[in-house]
Amino acid sequence: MSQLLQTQEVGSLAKPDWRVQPVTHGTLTDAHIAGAHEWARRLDIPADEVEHSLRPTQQWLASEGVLDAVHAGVVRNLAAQFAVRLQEKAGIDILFDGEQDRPEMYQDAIAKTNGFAWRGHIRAFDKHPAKSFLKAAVVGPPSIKEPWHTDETERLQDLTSQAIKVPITGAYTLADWSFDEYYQRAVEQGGRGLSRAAAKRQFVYDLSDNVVRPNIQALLEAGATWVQIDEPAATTKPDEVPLFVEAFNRSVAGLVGKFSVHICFSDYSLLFPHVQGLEDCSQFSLEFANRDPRTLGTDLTRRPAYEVLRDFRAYTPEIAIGLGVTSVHDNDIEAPDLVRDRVVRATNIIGDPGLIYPSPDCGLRTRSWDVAFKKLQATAEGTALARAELGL
Amino acid sequence: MSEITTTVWGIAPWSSELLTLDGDVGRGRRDPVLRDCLEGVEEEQFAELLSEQAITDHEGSTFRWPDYLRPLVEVSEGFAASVDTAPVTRWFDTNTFYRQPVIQGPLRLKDSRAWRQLVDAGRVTEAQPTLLSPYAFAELSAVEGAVDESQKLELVTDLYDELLGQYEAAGVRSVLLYEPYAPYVGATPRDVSRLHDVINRLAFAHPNISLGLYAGYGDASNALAKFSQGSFVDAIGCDLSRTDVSRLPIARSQRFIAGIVDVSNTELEVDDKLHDRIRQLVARVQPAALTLTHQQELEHIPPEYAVQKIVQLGRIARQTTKEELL
Repeated sequence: MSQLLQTQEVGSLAKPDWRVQPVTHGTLTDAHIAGAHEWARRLDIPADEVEHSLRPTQQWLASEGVLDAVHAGVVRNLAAQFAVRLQEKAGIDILFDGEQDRPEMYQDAIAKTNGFAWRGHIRAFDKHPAKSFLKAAVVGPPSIKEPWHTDETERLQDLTSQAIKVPITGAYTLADWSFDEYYQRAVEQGGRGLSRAAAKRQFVYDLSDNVVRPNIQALLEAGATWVQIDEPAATTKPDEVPLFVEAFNRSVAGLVGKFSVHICFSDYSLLFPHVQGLEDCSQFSLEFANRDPRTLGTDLTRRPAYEVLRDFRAYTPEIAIGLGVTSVHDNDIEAPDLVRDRVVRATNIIGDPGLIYPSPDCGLRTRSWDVAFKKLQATAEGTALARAELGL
Repeated sequence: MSEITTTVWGIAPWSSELLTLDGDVGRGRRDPVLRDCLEGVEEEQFAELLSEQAITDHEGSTFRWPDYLRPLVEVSEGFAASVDTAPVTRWFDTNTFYRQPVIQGPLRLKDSRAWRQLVDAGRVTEAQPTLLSPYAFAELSAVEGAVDESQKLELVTDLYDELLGQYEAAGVRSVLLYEPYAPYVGATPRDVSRLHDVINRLAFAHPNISLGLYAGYGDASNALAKFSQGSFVDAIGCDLSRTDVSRLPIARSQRFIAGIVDVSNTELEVDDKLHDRIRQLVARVQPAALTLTHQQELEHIPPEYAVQKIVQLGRIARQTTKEELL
């Protein structure tokens, strides 16, 4: 952990078929298990571990037809082990478990929170296959149904000796992505005398104070030292960026740990000057590669996506940058030379390589493990080239 | 005021079943025929709902669209060839995304029958296709190679000119241009002029098509300011919940498309509130005719809630009489 330009993941990886099929279809075939063995060989995981985890599960499914909690846990644990080893093997320094226990960042959080009711799927992106997410409405005061990620955090500490960073969905994004059948109803009925904006604010405050903060506290008690708050919605309503800042501050108020925020596919210029109000944020984890050309070079014309870093340097010079250098929405593997140039460009703008953490743009859950592995490798190899280029 | 009508526009929501099936097809787990079949059923059910609710003008084209840009890119030349590796970009303040078109040269339709891929050919004379306005399309696109930023609006407008020509020849009588960009960013006077000029140019060039402009995602009063007197655009409109109605232009010679039904939330607003919005609008704008609609795209709520919203739209339209508004 002493070298500069530490590489990090951002959160999710895809779930392998042998993790998904037992849950969705109650099946685990020999072909699925063979696929697990193939990756076990690539990741230097003993074949026995695959057999000891998946064969009993296969036998259980053959006789019972439905996955039970015990075998589901066994499969999840094995998937987490594979995801961790995949990142280690790729050369990533700061890890998580690929969110192998979480169906999706919003759905998982809402499922473990009181006060919400599911309303249906919304198409989010693309077609054939369309990406979608399950959306809920807030119908009562939000509170924790069960701790969100303490089991994952405790397990992860047994799986790796490397630094870990635990992602958790932020209060502003949870509120912004939910329908509102509670706070706004109070507005309509005049019950609380709230304006629509005030209703949204109260919703975000309640999630920050009564849901996200207690969860972060539980993560810290479970051994986490670094929590990444995921807020992809932070800039989507420009006049509510200050509310995102308030949500972050309330979520970590009084807690002792390292906290960062991940924001992606957003207009970062809208963050300023509001993010000067963040009180305990050590890193912005940001997406850049998606919007950056693939030609080599370190000047402005070759690396336009990284110019907004000048604003981060001007407004929040002490906050580090999780630097997106590999795209998560295509299968083209970035050349290490390209990653190098992106890291060098960013370092030249920020000035201090100790503030740069190269990473993928976002979680890699939409990519196959093969593509994800190669992109993580490119992240690590390109960063090594950048260290050499910068004389670090 | 001559008449009160209703319109449902844009991309309709898909059911959870169709989304799951489409995902499975994309991953090679299910037969594409099953997906196409369910898509057809849901499209037909949606059309039946509109008919039951006496929605006067409706889409007839974009049920199958993944977003408002990609279909046009795919029937055109001059964009970067691979849409699938283009930057992923957030659609305004939502959690939905599109691939950013990259303009590399002059834009033109790939062939003379490109329109057939954008409109349901069986409903062509009754359909009111929704297209993203050329101004928004240009602003949401990137440029590459020999094309620079200053050229892209003209290039996109040329493409729309060609497409509207095909629509016109095919018998399409009405097109709705959807403008979310200018209100969202708070367009400057110069940008409003550019928006006005390109829409007006298209309206003038295609007199056989009734062209409407609907603005969303912000206060549209600035964006619509120049579209009243002397404009060739037949109809203007906006999301009334986000627009300062007192600043909208008087439009005595035009139809006004009033976005009254909130589709950003699953809750139904009370009918009285919607009637109030209509009365305030008519008192201010004094339109020649009135069309009632939903405020935003329907695709951001699940289909069962979209149905409730469309039923509310139909109910409000039936309850609203010309006499009441005069």
